[in-house]
Amino acid sequence: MAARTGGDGRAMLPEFENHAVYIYAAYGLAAATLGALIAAIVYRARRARAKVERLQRQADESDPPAQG
Amino acid sequence: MIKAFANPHRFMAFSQRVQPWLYGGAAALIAYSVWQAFYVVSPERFQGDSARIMFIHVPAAWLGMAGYAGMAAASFVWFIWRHELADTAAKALAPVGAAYCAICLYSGAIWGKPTWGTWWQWDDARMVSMLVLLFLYLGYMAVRAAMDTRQKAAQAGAILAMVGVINVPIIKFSVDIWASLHQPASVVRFDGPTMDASYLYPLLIAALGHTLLLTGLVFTAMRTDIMTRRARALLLRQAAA
Repeated sequence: MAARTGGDGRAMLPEFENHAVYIYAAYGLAAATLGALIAAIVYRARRARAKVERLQRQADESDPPAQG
Repeated sequence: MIKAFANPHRFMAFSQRVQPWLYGGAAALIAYSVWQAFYVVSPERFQGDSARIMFIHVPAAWLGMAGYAGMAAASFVWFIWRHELADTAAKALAPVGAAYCAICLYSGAIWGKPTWGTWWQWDDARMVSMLVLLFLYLGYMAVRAAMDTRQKAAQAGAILAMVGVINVPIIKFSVDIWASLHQPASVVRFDGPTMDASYLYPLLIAALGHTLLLTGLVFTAMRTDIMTRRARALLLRQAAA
């Protein structure tokens, strides 16, 4: 297995002797699936946290804690 | 012990502490396993370079099955003790497990083409039972979404998860019972793995990395569910005031 090299000589992607397209397809699709899953879960988490913080702030403003 | 983990406040504090370690560990171990798969391991004697697909296909298969088994266990806990956090865990496991199940199916199809000359074989019990697992995941999410209350969704989902878990041992032992394209088990065996160490250790590291990722994602999804319920409670309090 040889490594494909960039202009500056650094190793980039490996060049497989056979089945390269299958290997890149499997890993590429898996990365896309996991990337989409992570993005969806993190987006929903951020949105939920922002909503709770906003509602909590509104609740605190309408019902301020007792002084002293 | 179940009661200690059933407290949402305790879970929120615990998950906040462990999440960076889960995601950090997952990133490091998955990157290491991909580097091993692409640059270090030698081509397999018969399959050539396509055997490198193993390092994503096999962990995805294990996690697809483990995710469903975890969902069934959490559903059982909800069914018996009615701990809301158990239902939250089952609900959070479904999309992550389904994603791993889907990755297993299409990476397997992609690996099958150069190895067996076919993308899919309907008489291979391992392939078909894994496809059934994906349908069980999709069915679980669809059933939950179709219910109009959380209680009904939890109940219907729990029944489906507990009944459907029978498919997990069928997947595991399908290659031993109905011989077809898939080879018999070579890692999880009663008499120890038959796989060469140069493949086995990167595979186990990949599986550990993806397990940490699955756990991190499930914890994040559980935290989201708890926060969504908290937001609903705050809205109700505002409406009542």
